[in-house]
Amino acid sequence: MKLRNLFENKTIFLTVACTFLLSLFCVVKICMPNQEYKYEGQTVFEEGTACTEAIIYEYISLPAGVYDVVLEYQTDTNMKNLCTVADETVFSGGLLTNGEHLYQNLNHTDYRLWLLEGTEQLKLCIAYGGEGSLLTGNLTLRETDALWTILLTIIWSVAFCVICILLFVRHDRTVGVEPDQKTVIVGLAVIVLTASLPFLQDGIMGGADLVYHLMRIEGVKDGILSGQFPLRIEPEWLFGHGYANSIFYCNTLLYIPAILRLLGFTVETAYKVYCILINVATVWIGYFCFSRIFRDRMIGLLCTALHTLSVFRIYNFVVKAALGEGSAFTFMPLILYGLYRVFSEEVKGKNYQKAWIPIAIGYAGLMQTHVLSCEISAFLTIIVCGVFIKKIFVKETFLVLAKGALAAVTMSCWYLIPFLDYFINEDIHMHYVSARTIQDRGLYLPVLFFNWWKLGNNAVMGDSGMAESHAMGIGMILGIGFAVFCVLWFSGKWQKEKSRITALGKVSCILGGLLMLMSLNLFPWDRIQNIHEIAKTLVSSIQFPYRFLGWGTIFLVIVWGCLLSYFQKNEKKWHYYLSIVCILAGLVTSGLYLTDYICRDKTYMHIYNEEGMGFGYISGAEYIIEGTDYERLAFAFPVTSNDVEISEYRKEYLHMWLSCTNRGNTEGCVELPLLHYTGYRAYDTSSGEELEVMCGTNNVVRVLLPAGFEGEVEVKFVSPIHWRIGEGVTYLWYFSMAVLFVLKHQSCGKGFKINSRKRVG
Amino acid sequence: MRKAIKKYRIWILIELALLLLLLPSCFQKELLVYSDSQIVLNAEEESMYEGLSFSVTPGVYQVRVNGVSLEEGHIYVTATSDKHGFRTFRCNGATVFSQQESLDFEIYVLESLDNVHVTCSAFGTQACIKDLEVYRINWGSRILTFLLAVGSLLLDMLLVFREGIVTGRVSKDRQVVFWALLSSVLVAYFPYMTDYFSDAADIAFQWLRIEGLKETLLHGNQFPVRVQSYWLYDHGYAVSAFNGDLLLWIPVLFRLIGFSLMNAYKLFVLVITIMTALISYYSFKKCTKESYSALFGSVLYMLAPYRIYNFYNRGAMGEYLAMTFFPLIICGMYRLFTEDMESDKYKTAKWPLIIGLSCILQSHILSCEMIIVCILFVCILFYKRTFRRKTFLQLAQAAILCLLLNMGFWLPLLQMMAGDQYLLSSIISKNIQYMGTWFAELFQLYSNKDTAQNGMYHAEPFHMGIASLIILVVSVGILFHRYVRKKKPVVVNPYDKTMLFWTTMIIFTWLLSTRYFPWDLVAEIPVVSILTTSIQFPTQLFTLVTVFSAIGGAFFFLWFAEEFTGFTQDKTKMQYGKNGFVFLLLILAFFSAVYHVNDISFQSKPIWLYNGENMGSISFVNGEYLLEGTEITDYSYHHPVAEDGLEWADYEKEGTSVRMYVQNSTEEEKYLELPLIGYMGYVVEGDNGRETDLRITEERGQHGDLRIAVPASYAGYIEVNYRGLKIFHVAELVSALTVLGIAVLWISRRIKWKTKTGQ
Repeated sequence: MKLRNLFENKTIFLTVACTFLLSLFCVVKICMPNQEYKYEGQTVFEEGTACTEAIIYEYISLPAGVYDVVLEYQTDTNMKNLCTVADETVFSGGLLTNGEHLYQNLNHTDYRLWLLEGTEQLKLCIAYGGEGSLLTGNLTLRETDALWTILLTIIWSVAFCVICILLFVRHDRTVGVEPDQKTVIVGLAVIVLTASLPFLQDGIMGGADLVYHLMRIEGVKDGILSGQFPLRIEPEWLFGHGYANSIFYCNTLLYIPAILRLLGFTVETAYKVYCILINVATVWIGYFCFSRIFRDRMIGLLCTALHTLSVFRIYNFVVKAALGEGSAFTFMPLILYGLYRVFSEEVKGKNYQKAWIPIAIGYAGLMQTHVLSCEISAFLTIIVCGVFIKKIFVKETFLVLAKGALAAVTMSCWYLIPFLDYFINEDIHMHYVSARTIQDRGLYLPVLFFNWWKLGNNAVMGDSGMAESHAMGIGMILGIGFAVFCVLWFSGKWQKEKSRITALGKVSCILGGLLMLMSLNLFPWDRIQNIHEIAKTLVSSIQFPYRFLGWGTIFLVIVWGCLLSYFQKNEKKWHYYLSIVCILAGLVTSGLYLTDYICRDKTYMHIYNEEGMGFGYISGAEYIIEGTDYERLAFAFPVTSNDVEISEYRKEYLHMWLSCTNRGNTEGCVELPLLHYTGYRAYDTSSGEELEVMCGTNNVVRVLLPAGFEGEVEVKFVSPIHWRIGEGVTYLWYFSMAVLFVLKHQSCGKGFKINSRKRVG
Repeated sequence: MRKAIKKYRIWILIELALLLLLLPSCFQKELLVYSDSQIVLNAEEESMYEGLSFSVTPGVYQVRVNGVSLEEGHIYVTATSDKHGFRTFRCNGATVFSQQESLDFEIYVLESLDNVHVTCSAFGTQACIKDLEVYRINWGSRILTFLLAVGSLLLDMLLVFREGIVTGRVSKDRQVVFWALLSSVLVAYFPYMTDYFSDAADIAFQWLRIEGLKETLLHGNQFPVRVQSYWLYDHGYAVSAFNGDLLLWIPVLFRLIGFSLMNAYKLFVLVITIMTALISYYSFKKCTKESYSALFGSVLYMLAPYRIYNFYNRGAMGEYLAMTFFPLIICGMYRLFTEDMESDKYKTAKWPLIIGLSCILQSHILSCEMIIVCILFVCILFYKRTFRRKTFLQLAQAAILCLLLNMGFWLPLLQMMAGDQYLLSSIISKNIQYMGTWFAELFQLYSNKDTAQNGMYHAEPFHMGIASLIILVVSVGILFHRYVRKKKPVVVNPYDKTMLFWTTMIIFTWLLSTRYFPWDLVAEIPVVSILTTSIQFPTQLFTLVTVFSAIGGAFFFLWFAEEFTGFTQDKTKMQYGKNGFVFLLLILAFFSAVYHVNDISFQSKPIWLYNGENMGSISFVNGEYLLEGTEITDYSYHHPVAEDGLEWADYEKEGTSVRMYVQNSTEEEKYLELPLIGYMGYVVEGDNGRETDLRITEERGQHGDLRIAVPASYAGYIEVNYRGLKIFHVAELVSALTVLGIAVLWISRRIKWKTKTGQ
């Protein structure tokens, strides 16, 4: 299809024209200079007299826009006082900001304000806790381009969706789309919509891990702003001391919300858009894999529904806000699909050599979203390979598997090398949590098969039983599929069936059963933990036995698919339709019911900017340097030894410049507000000479200054060369793959046709 | 069967070998693992005793505390382990109250531990413990052997079943019935598939009944048990005289094997759930003569909200036990009224009625009253059939045999009721109408674990369930439509009358359960008032609503199939329509029951009770079976109380038996009060049955204690035992002879039949 042909369609032409005009308007607006609104004044707060909303500036007149609020202040407390902006005259939701806490060693605020309606009565308020001194000074409101970049993004997104729909309609009219394809498309859209319901409402629903993941998004944004790519150390965490979260917990997918943040969206919107995109990806990947495994669109659709709307996924993604685990769920079907192809397809087949691709993408996706899920996947892959041990030693199969593994590692090399480097060489807190037992966090058998889930709470099941339990099982409907498959197996039905699907069903049934067992508190985790030190660390790192239900859910979805396939193949129409009714009833009464309950009962909050969340939260502190008392960390200035003086100091994220003098006859030092992870370097900017960096008080960066030193010191985080090599390998791989892809398509003479008619499988 | 056994012989041999290997360990002697003596606990200084650590291997241990000297306050004794795996050390400990001299409780250990110790904490008292010992007992081996035996049996049965399926000997119908009933059992048992227990309203009372029965039997001085020792700080309670204990032998058996009280009860519930599934299916099949309809009815019954509610919301053991046998009554009555009187099998139709009625009587008297009234109502309604000679004869035989079989229970009960006044009579209220259900409650579709009894806000689930409700509505709709049209259908549905009858019964019993029926007026009518007031709550009639809905559902299956032929002649459409509707009902029943059990699991706070001693002995609900005038808050452990001039020594009490030395050094009769409730049936005599002038007085002591008059200048040992009245023993003998007679008759008929048929 040529571009000119597309524009023959008037609606498409109009859409593109409108988009162009609107975009032009936005670009013009962006190009125009931004205003700065300054207000002068001083307010002293009386110590001991708390006030919740002291108005410092009022009747501020501002047009709609996105602003940075800079208020000068001096205080001797941390996080006791809050600066925020209010306006009762704008429409509800027209003024978005959380404000910012005031800190001892910061002399001004710098937080963002989204004003969606012009006002003349904006006021700046301080909530003073009554402790310590507080003096506020001048106020500056700096206009930004964010409003127009947001608008531009929205325009392009809407235009993209509209054009896609128009193209589809056009394609249907000209070439024709099969009815079952339409059913599938509508079905998939409904699944996405249903799964995204919790993100299509006001605010953001609180979950145990929510703040942590929002801070991760903010961390990536700050990392990009600080010039780190790829991000290694979140610069603003721990009050600007930096926290090596990204090295251990890969952020690849979080670049999407981070870019949205950079475009000006609130963190809340970025998070919700990301979750919806993950839902889209889950549905798309799920359908791609399941429909190809079962070679049937309807079964693919049903399996996708079971997978995407599974209670365990909803629990992780929505109730717990476990973004990493929820995102990992997206890639699991790819691994399964890849392994299924490897072990079931004819090795001499035309497409067999490509079977490594889903494995590679799946594993790379898992590694870069949730390492624990990746470990579990590797464990299961080993089991599956053990089951098909004979096939592994067939040359083609071995090669495909090796290719998959190698490609996954290569794609993740940029992340894996720093991760392993720090994991092995850095003395982090994670190495000291092996005493944590997990069996009491396992589930009770009935919880696995709950159907009507309610919100519940996060209590340890070993202490509180099933009372008020979170939706942590696999759900009754998957349990029914499992039970029916087992009954048919028991009755000898599978003995007569010798198909690939039956074999897949059997393996999935066994693995699903095993994983369900492993998620229970009946499983002897405590005993396993006591076997050996390695077992202790491994088991402890699992944290919650119910993590196994991620894969358990996928295997049980496959079991359902096998059952449907069996009923269809054997023309057991009655069973087939009854199964569909059961699946739909189950989904409505479990997944949808839970979603409904969540939307109704779960408290929600508004988080717009990272300043509103604070800078100190690091979840379980797993990646902190062992021995660091992180509660003592706060925004701070450099601390020097006796003879060292600092005349000038500048800090931009993890990059610092200090003009200092060591007047003593011995070596002096400066301790900087940076947590001492390996990789910090200090230089004398005038001579370029490198200064020694070591671990200081409470594990902060200490720079040693020779006797008589005078000059400017630059301190920054520099990725070691082997990390850079790792990154280079990954970039090279992507580049070569892209080249190969283009060359192959050119040599085959294939264009990107959108009107190709191809049946699944 | 033989083929299957042959095929799996190695497996069976392994099972047998394992059982034989384990069996000797069940008779191992107990082993002392820790002991200490002369422990002194000072209230002000060392109020806590922590024994030395000792090692344990997996098994059951018993902590025994003897010779406690404690005048006031109490001591809490428990065993702890510093470091153990998840739930591998199970013990709640127990409290020793003042004047309680000994105590023992169990520890269940599931892994080897070397840091176990016993602790005693005194509260507000100075105490001395003469001996503290911990024994390893053989209960663990017994539990393991039992579980292995049951597990092997189940596995073997499954293997045989599988063999039958594979070879085609087990029909598809049977397979469907088996799996469907199993699913229903699993759904109905859902909340108990944990290692803890979910609390329910009456459960402490029911557990005390089990524990009391076990303790009394172990004392060995009563059979059958009428007054359970253990209750009310060892004063004994006549709960067994007023409530049949026949089925409680099942949990007692589990307790005797060694299971903790909590697990024994949960196993008992599982057994009852399975029994309900089997009995209801058997009974409904006998009525409908068709597997799927019986299965449908049975599933509706198993998953009925009111039945599940009785288990988990209320812990109403009597009622749910009675509900297990209701289908048998339906089966018996239906067969007697509908089967061909000339057939050989007609004479056997009374047996379900006899067994059902007997079991209901032995489980829940109130339910028995209700079902008898119901039977009488049906007999009157179908008087023509009732007074057919053969039917009447069978009904009369059933009634007489029931009375004879259960004479050992009802006669002592009536005798006790006639001989004494109990708190029961003062508790019964004539004002019960307000406890009935509201009209709107019938139409509630989902059940929760709520507790409110008046109004609909968070109300207990008094409705028949979504599937049964739809059946009722559809049935009423079709029947009403037919009545309005006054047009005879083209094809006469053979189940019309049956369906009309069950629909009427459902509506009628439901009306009785509502607050719109004038119960308070009826309660004013002499004679009838006794029956009505004893119902306590009109909602109890939901038992009948439930069972009628289930049998109605079973017939609806057949009726609807016939009815559907009137809608369409297309066989495929007909099959799809009929089956589709029935499956829809099943799915609704299933999902709504799952909703109920999910909510129960979600709302119930967990209790981990391993040793029954921890729950105390005073959960008697309203104390219905205490003697009138008793102050129910007054109980405690205490020694005998003697009047001045009367001295006692060497006091020994075991259950409801007391042996002691008394000396009346005065010239007049003196009274001695024993820590036993003065129910009729106690006997006092001299040492070794020596005849004396000792007597039990009519007048009871403080809080109803047994009072003994000791003649002037009497000196010697006395023994007090609960023996019951002579009439009790006569009644028991009659019951035993009836059972024997029935057994002999059955065997002789069986032999005759075998001789006749040559089998």
